[in-house]
Amino acid sequence: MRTTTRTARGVPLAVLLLFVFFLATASAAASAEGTIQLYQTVDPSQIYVAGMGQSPETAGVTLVVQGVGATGERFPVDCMLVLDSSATAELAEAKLFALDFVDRLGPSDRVGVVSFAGTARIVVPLGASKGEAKTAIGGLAAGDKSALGTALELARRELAQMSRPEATLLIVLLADGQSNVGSDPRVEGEIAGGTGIRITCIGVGTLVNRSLLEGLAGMTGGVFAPRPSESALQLAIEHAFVGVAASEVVVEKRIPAGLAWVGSTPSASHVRVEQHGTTTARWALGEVRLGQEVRIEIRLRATESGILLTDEGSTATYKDFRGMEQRIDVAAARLNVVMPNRAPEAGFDLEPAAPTTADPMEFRDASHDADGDETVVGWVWTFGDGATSDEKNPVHRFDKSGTYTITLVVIDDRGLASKPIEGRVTVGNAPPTAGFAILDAGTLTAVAQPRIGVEVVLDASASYDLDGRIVAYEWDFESDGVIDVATDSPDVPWTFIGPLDYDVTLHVTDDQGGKAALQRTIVAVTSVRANRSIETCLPDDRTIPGAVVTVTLALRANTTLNGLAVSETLPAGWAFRSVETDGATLRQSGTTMEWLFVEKFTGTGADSQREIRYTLTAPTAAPKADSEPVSIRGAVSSSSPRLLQTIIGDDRITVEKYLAVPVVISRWNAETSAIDLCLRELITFDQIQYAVSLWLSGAAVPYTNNAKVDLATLNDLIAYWLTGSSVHDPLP
Amino acid sequence: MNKIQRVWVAAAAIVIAVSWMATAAWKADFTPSTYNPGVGEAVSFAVCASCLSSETYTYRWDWNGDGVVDLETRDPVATHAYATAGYYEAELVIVAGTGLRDTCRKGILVGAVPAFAVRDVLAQDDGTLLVVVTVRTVDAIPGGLGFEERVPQGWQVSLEETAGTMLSGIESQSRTVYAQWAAVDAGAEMVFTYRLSMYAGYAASAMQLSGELRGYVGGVRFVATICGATRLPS
Repeated sequence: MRTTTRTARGVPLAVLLLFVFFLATASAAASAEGTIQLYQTVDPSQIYVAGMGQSPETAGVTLVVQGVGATGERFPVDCMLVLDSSATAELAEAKLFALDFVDRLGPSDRVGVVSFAGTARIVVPLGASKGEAKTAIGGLAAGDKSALGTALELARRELAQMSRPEATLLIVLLADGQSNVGSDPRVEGEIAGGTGIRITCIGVGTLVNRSLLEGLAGMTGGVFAPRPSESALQLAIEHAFVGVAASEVVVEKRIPAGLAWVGSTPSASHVRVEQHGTTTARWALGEVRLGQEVRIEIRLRATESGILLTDEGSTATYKDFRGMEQRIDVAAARLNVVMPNRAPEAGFDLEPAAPTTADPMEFRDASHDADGDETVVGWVWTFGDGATSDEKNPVHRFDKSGTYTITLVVIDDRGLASKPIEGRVTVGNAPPTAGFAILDAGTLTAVAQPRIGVEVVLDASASYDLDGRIVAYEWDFESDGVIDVATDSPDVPWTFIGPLDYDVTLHVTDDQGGKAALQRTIVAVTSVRANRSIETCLPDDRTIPGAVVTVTLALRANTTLNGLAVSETLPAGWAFRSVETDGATLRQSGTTMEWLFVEKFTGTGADSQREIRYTLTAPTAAPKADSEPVSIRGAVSSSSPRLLQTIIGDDRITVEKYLAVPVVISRWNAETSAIDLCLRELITFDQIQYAVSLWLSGAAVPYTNNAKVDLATLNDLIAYWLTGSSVHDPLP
Repeated sequence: MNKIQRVWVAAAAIVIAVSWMATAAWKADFTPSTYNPGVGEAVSFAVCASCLSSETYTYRWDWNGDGVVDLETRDPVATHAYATAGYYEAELVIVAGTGLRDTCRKGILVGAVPAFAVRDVLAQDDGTLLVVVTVRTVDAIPGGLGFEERVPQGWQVSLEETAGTMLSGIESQSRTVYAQWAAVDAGAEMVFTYRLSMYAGYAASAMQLSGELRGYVGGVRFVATICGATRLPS
């Protein structure tokens, strides 16, 4: 519990300091006034905005009203005794009463004496000893007239000048109330009442002006007794001794907007909520005695956060111990209202949804904090495989296939952690990756191309599995779907025997059953290169019945060959004639021709090359169809190294039943009057002359489907001739 | 121009001048009685008298152009019969008493042909040469008749008279003059003329003309070498 000082949300510091200074000044003034002090405490000093589920939601503000101003049970008395020594008053009665009164005063009280008859004078000034006062009182002599007003004035002035601030101011008037000299006693009475001086009037003598004395007592808050009796003395003393520090105390508190009224003890006589949210509450506390503490406990709750000041404009009004009306401000209490922190809610997305062990997974935070944006400051990821991360958006790859539970807890900027949220992901097996190389069987170094007939090692150790190991290697050397070799070892010896191109497929299987395949086209290097070229003298290896076709077999050994055999299977019905055997022995067996080289070939130089040439004459019988293709198949073979290899190159001849007129004309040998397919594709003037003769005679062009040279055809032929264009090309 | 080139040009100028002087005085020429005699038919070869001056000349005849003089005579008319069909180039060398000589060569086609052609080369005053090819048919040529003639390098060719050809022209790449008639009746004569002009500053490397007349009779091709003058005058 502590006393709060005023402060205000949003008020600049300079203003705040000024205000604190003002509070201190006001507090000092209240103390000088001297009769009550206000203390205000707040407990607790920090609460949460109400309705947010966070405790405490209310704060108690305790206002303590304390009676102060003097030590002891009553205030000291500064008293002027005013004695009427005029002819009409009973001076002896008055002296007696005055002496008794002085005797009853306490040590802290002070007394002075004024006597009046025709004139008034201060017999004993305020502050003299009681003995002096009593002696002076005893020595008073009677006079004639009554300067009552003047005496009151003297007493009032003496009190005004000489009294103590903490003392009750009192004039005890012992008089009959007759006044015929000097100032008006009623006026003096009013002045005294206005400065906190009470006048106690005690009638002495036989003709007491009761109305005047009662009036003086009434207008100053004093008491009146018609006779200086014992009871009158008692009354005067009781009245002189004041223990009430403040009376008619009214506290009015203002509670600013943002704070709401809950209740108070004691209950307020009046509670009102203003339109702008300010709450005003009032308590009428009555009297507060010296040393008494009156507590007002109120309970407030907050509707908004911030540092809130209570009691701006709050006041306490009262009448002080002298009966003077006073007003003091109620010091502000400071209340820190906090918006309660709510726990953040964790959330996340992940991608891909169906990962494999090869995929780095991206986890994206999707957490939310109800207290605002950017307030989540901590992330605790556990991935279920022992790995953790404190990144916001971590990337994680699972090494093993399986189902994992990922947990995320987020922490906000006030250290509050969310409930953990879980997500599950099933991670599939990453398939292996197939790879292989071809190694020389002797040196085990990589070779780009295997040689036909020479053993190599196919090495699949370039294959790998990210999340396990490869357990099976299967080779399909022709990619025909038939596994040629299956092994658990990556190395396989193999000899390619021909043809040249292989689509080799390697299938690998990992320990979790994942499969991968790699197909590579392997172009083997031939041990011998055998190429067939067919020359028919017409494009696309076309020819006509009865025409001669030249076939050339170019052989080139790329390595040492100990003997080489060449065989060609020719189309039936075609007449074979050998043109060049290049040293081979030729044997005919039906439609198969066999050449045998009984010699050693070297891989380079002149000994590496041979050329076989032969002609084929197409059957003279017209083909059944307009175009009749025939094939030539051949192979080369050797026993050392052992190889059997298809002869590549041209392998098809198409026999055409008819040729086009320009083709016939361009191949027409005018001198022999016969077709010669190997003439140039260009028409000569001689051939134009032949075409003109055909045009003129209307005869059919030979080797055509009974075609005639008409004017348009002749035009075409002349154009071919004049432009020097090939008859196989469109006319320019 | 350096010194050697200058000497060469001077020498060339002298050669041309001497050559001109030699031909300007007289020139060898002759005319056979027929350019297409039959086998064994006597052909009379008459030296062109007007082409000569009043000197005494010796005439050396080489009937088949093989470089061997077959007859040396002072008689301006000689006779020869060819025993075998074929194309011959008869050459006459005239030797003057001064020792100067000139040569003339003309083609003779021996044996029956459906048609034949005779070439004449006429020097013009403007320095150009007019080549006249006269085609004569013996038989009807229903399958078309035409000739193809190669012109030596250095000459620009232009057609003068195409004589009713269906197709004629100059094939510049092979420097060939060609002409084609459609069906031709027997006994017809077509005179086809073209002009040769020497390209300025261009020395002709060869001065020989050669050509063939070809045609189809009954679908059968015949070839007749063009007779007559074969050389271009210098």
